[in-house]
Amino acid sequence: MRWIESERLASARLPRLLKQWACAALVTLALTACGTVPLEPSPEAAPIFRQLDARVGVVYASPARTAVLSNPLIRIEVGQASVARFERVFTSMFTQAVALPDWPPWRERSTGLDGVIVLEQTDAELVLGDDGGRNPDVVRIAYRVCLYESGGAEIRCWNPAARHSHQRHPLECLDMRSCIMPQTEICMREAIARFMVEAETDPALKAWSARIARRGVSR
Amino acid sequence: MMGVGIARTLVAASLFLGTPLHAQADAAAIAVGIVGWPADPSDAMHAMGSDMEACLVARIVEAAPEIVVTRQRTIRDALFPLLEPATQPATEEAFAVLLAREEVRGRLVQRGLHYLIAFSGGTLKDKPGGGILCGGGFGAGGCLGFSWQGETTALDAALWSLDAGVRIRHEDARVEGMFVMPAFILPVPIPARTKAQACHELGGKIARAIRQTAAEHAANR
Repeated sequence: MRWIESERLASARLPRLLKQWACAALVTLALTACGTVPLEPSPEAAPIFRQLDARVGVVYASPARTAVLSNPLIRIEVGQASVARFERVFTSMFTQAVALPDWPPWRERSTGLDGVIVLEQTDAELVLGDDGGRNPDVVRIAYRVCLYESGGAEIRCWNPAARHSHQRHPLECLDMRSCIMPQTEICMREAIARFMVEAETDPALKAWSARIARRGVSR
Repeated sequence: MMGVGIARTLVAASLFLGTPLHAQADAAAIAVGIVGWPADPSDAMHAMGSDMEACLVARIVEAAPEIVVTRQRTIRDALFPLLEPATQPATEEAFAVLLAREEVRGRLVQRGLHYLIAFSGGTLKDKPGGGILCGGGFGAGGCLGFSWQGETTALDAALWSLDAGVRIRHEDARVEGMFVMPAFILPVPIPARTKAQACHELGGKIARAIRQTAAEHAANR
């Protein structure tokens, strides 16, 4: 009789143990998936841009640097990745691009430069869908980039944005990162490309560049 | 003048046709780039790599092993930001203007590329026809019926010379087929495979066009 009871106890304990193991495994899996994900570095080659003969200061505002795409399942540091990409962009746009410190604010001191370009804002949005066929994952990235005279007067602001949606197939993304990260990369890439192409033909930027050139000649 | 041109063409043709396949394979590598253009802006991910691109590259290399293909991801990275789905040239004239840009051509030639393949196209599916009924009960079940769906895959590719910045060839392939699914107890899908056939056809045509163009180019030197 005792033996039967102990067997019952063992059989009652076994599913509980299994449940505990399953829970532990799931939590481990979830924690692994929740980790902050680094994005791929930007391409090796410098972006193509008809370089402007100007020396600019570069500022990455806090809301631009710290933007994060987060969700209970995934967290992507879009701000840091964007800054890395914009560093290459600004280097290819201007003959000299110097990073300015956060403090003191650049408006409150003389920079001795031709202008200051500021990545003011990075907005990142993720709407997770499902694999049911009618509810795609949507990623949206938007930037605000402004160019100022060294005295602080605004020359031009750009608001490039990109959106990408992808309908997951069943079992396509067992690890969400494998689906969301490429979409995020593509959005950043598209938004930055839009900014560069728009800026290259921007009349305000051309006029500013011409003014700098005239100032250089008259000096 | 015209006689010289004809003679050159004849020399190129004899070089192309007279060379055995293994010797052609041993010939100097011909570096080409491939890019899907125009890319669908609503599906930018496709512009970084697609099944069709992979299929075409495999078929080109199979048909002409001396051809070395640089994938579109590398081409787009090299030309960033000018060939992104959001910023790509909209017309053939604009594409020619892009290739004529010194920095653009410089970036591609720096990679040893002399030709660029710009491919496009896709598959159109008709409305499905027929019908299949499935049912079950009392421990058994099954389906009965027949359904079909016509599909057409149309692909085309332009071969651009990076030295001259002009389109030198145009090839296309169009394959029609029918997806059918007879069902007797179990439904059995029989795919149309138009994509694979069109890719095979176009890949072969591109390989021949590149080989011929390279031979003509060598003869003209």
